[in-house]
Amino acid sequence: MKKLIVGMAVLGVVLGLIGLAIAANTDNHTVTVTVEAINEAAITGGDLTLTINTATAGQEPDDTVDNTTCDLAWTTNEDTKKITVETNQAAPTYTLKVLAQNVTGGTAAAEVTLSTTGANDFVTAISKTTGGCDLQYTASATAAQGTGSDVHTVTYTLTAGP
Amino acid sequence: MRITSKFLIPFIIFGSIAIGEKIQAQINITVTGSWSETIDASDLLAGAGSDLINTYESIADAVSISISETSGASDNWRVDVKKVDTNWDSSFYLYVKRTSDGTGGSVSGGTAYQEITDVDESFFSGSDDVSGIDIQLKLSGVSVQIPPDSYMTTVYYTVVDI
Repeated sequence: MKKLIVGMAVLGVVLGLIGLAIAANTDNHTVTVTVEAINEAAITGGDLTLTINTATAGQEPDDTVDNTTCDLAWTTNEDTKKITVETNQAAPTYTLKVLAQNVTGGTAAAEVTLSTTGANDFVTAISKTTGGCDLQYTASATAAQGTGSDVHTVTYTLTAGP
Repeated sequence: MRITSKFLIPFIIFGSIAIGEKIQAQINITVTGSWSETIDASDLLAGAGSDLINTYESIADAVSISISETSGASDNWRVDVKKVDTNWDSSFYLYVKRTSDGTGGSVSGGTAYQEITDVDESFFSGSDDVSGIDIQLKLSGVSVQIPPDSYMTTVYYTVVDI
């Protein structure tokens, strides 16, 4: 009788502990967030026409400057990026320069003379940011270059770089 | 013999209670579904120059929870929720809410978004067997400051017999 009582007690305790151990039941699911590389740049303002048509007598024609028509904006979620600029104009007659003004989210490079020498740094030190700038274009010509027009397709590229 | 019985009787009583708890402790929780979110350039608020949308929601029934093997309508339970991060950005905040009552017994609470933290917190409660309780998830804290990567956390739901 004594052994039976002891046996029942031990069994009860063991089963009880097992029961308590499974009193809480758990299941799960995963949440996966994939963040892809984002490197976007866009120009606002559309096409720009610069006309050189004034001069002071005895001097070369006046430069024409526009820094209000076009803006450039960018977004990247990566580090160490820069924006370069280049033209497709193989043999420009006149000089066209571009400068990033009022830059946010990066550092302006020196004014770039658009030529066929390939891509030039335009804004540097871009890292995980949104940014933008005004595009200041300056067109200049000499009297000796006469009349005519150059058409540039100017391309800005957000790319890897310091 | 009298002394022995004096010690054994509490064990027998505890054992009986424990056995009873074991019988009640077979309550089970089953979680189906998961949530994956891909964030890319299409999620920019306004294209280049803008940040990413901050908050994302799963579909209303991304995850389904079922409670089974209760002892009936008088068997009350509570579901706790927590997350265990695998690779999770500290800027992310994950929320959960219940979007349906499911079918079967009764369910209450959990219909407003609550943050999922790294420790168990009460989510909703109910009684009896209930199947198909729909769960919706929300992620916030997304920005271009978060580098490209695949982030994952596991959400654990624990049913506690109460």
